[in-house]
Amino acid sequence: MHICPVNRDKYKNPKYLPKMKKITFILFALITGTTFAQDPSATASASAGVVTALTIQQETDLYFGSMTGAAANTGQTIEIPFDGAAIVNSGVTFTGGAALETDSAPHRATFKVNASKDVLFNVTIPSSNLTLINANATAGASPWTVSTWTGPVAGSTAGDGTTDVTIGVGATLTTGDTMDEGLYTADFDVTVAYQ
Amino acid sequence: MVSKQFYNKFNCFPKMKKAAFLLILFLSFQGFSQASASSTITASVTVIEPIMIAKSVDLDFGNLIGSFSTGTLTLAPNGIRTVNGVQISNAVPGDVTAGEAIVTHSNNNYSITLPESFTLYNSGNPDQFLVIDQFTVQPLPSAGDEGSDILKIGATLNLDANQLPGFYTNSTGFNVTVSYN
Repeated sequence: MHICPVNRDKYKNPKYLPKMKKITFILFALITGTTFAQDPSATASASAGVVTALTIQQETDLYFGSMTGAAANTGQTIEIPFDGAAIVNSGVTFTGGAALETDSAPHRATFKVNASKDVLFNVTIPSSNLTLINANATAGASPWTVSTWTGPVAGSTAGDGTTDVTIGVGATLTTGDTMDEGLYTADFDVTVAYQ
Repeated sequence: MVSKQFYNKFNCFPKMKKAAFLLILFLSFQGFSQASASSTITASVTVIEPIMIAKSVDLDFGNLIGSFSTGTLTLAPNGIRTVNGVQISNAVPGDVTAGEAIVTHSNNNYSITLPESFTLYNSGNPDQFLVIDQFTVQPLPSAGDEGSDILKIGATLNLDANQLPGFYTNSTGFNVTVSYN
C-alpha cells in the first residue's frame, strides 16, 4: 500500500502561523470598521445647576415699643426703618421698660434667610395696611394701623451658600384715638424668592 | 506499461485528473455557445454616502432651584424649559441650551437612537446624582435630499427632594446614534 507523501509537518512549522494571524487580524479589522461606518454616533455632555432652596425663618418681631396711655400718644406715628437705623417718633412717650413686652425697645422685624451663594433674591413685604387688634380696646375705637412697609430693595440681597443672611422689615405705626391698655398685635407675611 | 514509479507519482492525484477533465469540457461547451449567440449583462452597484453625525452643542439644563419635594424640569428641543414641582430663577437661569448634532446623509431615510436615561453627578460630591430621561429630538428624520440635518435634543431632568445644591454633569457624555433604515 502506498501512502501519499503529504507533508503534514509543513503545517506544523511555526513559520506559517504568522501569515494566518495577519489574515485573521485584517479580517476582524474590516468587520469592525464596517460596523462603525453604518451606525455612527456622537457624544454630548449634559449638565445642570441645582441652587439651594430658599428658606426663611422669623427671628424677631416688629415691635413699636410700650407707651403710656396718655392722651398725648393718640394719633402719633412711630417709623421703624428696615435697616436698623434710628426710629422716627412723632411724639409718643414710651414707658421705658415697664410694659407688657419684655423687650420694650422698639425694633424692626428680622428674618434669617438661607440662599445660594451670590444668587440674588427678592423680599416681598406687605403692600397694604395692617390693623392691630387689642382685645381690651373700646368698642368702636379707631384702629391702630401699620403702614408704609419697608424692606431690602429688590436685587440687593444675595446668599452666601453656607450661613444665613439676616434681612429686616420696617413699617410705620399710627396710633388710634384711644389708648386702651393691652397688646395691639397682628400677623403679617414676608416672602423671599430668587430673582 | 506504466512503471510503478510513474503510477505512484500520479495516482496520488486521481481527483485532480477528474477535475481537469471536467474543466476541459466546460471550456469546450462555452466555446460552442459563443459561436451561436451573445448577450450583454450590465452589472452595477450603488454606493450610498455614509451617514455621519457630529455633536455641535452640549445639553445644558441651566440652573434650577432645589425643592423640598420631587419635581421635573423638561428642556424641549427648542430650548424652552418647563417645570413641574420645581422652580427656576429667571434672573439667574444659567446656560440653557438644547443639545445639537449635525447629521450628514444621503437621500435615504434614517433613524435616531437616543439613550433611555443618563445620570449626572454632583461635581463636588459624586455620591449625589440626578437622572435625566425622556430624550426628545427635533426634527424627526425623513427621506429627502441628501445633505445635513441639524438635530436639536431635549430631555427631562428628575429632581429629588432636598437635592444637594451644586453643578451636576457626567464627563462620559451620552450617545446619539444614527443609521440608515
